[in-house]
Amino acid sequence: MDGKYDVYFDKLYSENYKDLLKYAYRLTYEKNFIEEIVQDAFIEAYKKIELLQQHENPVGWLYITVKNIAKAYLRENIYIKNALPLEYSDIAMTDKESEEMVLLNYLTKDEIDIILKFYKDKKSLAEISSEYEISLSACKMRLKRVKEKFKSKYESEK
Amino acid sequence: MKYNNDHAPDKEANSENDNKYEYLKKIDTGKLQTLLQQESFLSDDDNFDVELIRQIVVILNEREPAFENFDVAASLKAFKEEMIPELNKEKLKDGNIDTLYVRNVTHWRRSKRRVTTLLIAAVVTILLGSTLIASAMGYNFWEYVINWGKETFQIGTQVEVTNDPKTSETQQATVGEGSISMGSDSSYQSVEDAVKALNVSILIPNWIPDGYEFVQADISQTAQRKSMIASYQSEDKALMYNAVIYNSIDAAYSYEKDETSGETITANGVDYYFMTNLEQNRIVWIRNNVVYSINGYVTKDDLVKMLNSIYEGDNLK
Repeated sequence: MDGKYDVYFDKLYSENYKDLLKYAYRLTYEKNFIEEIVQDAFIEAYKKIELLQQHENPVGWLYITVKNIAKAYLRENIYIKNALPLEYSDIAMTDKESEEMVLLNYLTKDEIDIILKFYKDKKSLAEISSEYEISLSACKMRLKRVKEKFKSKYESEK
Repeated sequence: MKYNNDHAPDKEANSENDNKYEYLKKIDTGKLQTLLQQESFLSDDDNFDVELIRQIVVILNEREPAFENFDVAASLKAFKEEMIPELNKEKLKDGNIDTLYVRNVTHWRRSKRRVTTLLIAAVVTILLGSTLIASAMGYNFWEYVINWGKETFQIGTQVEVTNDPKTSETQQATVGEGSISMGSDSSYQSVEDAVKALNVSILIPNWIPDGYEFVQADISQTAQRKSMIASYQSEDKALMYNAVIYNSIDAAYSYEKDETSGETITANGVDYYFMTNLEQNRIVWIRNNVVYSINGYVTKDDLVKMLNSIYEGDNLK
């Protein structure tokens, strides 16, 4: 990104990030998701910064993008929860072992660990990346790959 | 909504919005939350009211503060140090960019295209004027058409519904469920009172699923339509019963749905359209020129029971 866009991007981020975080939270009530949702929106903004600077309502664009990403996250969340015996507050019969048993059909132990941290323990990617001592983007990528692997194996078994 | 490229809203615009959205402050937190989610998840990008959303978030945050101590500067620093180098690598590797959300960026271009399309549509309307007026006089919803899209279900008049909601002029006239214009609404403590105030004949359910309680009924009247939304609540779950009477043929409803859902149930000569969206079930139908829908966190069986209670004697299964 050119220097001239840096200032614009920083301003957009600084002035809107917190509000978008609040919006994503009210949409999902999933605290571990929302930073990812808003960051994904800013990733899109960064990629398209030249167009966005000419956009008639860049803040509106950010809200719409957050909304669309939140929807995608919720769909994915429901998909994973439906596929796994992950915790449902009103069903107390599942435990970590039974979830691991199911997941072992599709994933390795290391892969299961990140899935459970994110979906069951509801840790944010920042927390998980700190535990693994890896960068946020590496953590994000790892989770993405594991989810894709799980989906692919799960779908092929259905 | 005020459009400009200055992303620091000016004071005048804020003041206008404060007045316009003053009514939101009178709505309780649960309903505001429902409204926020409906506006966000049920309306398409073109009809998404950003300013309404921002106002709701502000009010909700005043009532239940969240993320006040969030360190944006640190977040930006981490974003620049960790995400941007990866993005630059990705760019070099792929030579292109992810197009998942590109439609938002191109929206402003589409808006210009839409103006052109509208002008063409206006000319066509003049040419076909007599036919359209004749249809409008009788606005016969018995001739409605439906369209099962991949992630949307549309229902409306034969004239207006197309296969492409994003470029259709129907979208301009669409009154999505998410576009509840509460500013000119009135609220009632019973469905019967709301229907009476609306002065139309609307079927109403005599049974609601266990655990749900009636919250309120809101009516809305515009030149194009009259509508009534009855809200029910069970703890944090919502159930909505919606009836809309159109005064115009320029009308179509578009509902978001899960990709794999969509089923038509026929009973006593009426088609009922059943779909799921995220965790909610929805049923939509048209009877006597009224578009009805029921949606919420209830089972399909419960929706059918509600229908049965509306049409006592009908046996929907």
